[in-house]
Amino acid sequence: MAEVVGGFLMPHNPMLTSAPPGLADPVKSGNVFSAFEAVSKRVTELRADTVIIIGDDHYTNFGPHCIPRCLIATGDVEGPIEPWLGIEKTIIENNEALANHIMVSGFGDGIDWAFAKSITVDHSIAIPYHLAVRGVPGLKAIPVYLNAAVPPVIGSRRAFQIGESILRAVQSWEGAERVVIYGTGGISHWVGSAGMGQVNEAFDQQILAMAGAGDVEGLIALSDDRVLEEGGNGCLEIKNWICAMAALPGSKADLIAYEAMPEWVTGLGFAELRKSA
Amino acid sequence: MSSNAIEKALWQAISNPRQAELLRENPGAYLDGFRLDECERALVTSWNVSGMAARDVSPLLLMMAYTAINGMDKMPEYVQRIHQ
Repeated sequence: MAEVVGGFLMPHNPMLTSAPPGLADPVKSGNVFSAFEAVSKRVTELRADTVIIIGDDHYTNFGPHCIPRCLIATGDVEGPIEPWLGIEKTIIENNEALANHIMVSGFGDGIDWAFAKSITVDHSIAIPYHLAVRGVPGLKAIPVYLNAAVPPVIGSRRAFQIGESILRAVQSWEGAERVVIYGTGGISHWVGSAGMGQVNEAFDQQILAMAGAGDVEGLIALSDDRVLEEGGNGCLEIKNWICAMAALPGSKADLIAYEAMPEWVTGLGFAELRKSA
Repeated sequence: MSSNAIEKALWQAISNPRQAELLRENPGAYLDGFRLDECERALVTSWNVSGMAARDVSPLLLMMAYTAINGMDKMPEYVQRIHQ
């Protein structure tokens, strides 16, 4: 039987690969890239063969004509779609069989997945892939998009339910995959809106503390209005974290690194989701 | 006032290099293809991004469109404008 063997929380900030050299404090940026390496190392230790990356489209793939609430890539994947990201477009190997099972199993759970038979992913998938998947030999990636970016955004409770459904799907899969799940994005950042450039470190630490305590209900209880006020529109991406946490019930987030980086317009947090012994 | 037509115009521009070029070179002609009133046209042609944000145009889209049409090096200028 397949199983979820681990989970991680991490940013997907496009500045990681596109910012001009020297813009950021080298110590801080060094810590950030070391955190991605630490994730890759742990995923290797966990002998994972599939990662489910929870991201959110930034009005890039999906436009005013169609904005899916939740989408899973069930077929061909490549990326990134942004030519300015500083990452060469490459094929991303999907675990199509498991992705399709998660979709169909989700339908049974009441999750009306949109699906992509082919997709060129944006930075919310491409950054984690580039920095924390590509270096792990044999690791396949299943992209999942939640709408955490274009109002009306997905509800946090729904994000949690999708994570629960993903877990049920993995556990009912006939294969023997060892799956890890990445909740990506956040923490505080104002994307294109008034306030851009701010980082609210105190709020970031509050989010990390709640994740560290395994208080996913507390994260769900944070209203979108409060998150917008204190963490900016980009902080709504903690819904991706909530989804990942739901796939590891009872887990607590062990901090790997945190850096407040106004120069990259974001507070960047990394943690490993560990189940209590 | 509706943000929908503005978002459609901006999104189509960032999704199609030929449309982006038209918006850059001849915004009036480009915007003729969308159902914008005069006020909305003025907001787009003057790149009044804070004004468009106040009308609920997505800030993500505004930022992407501004830099796609005016150049990635114009990000600091965008940040200045969104705070006006």
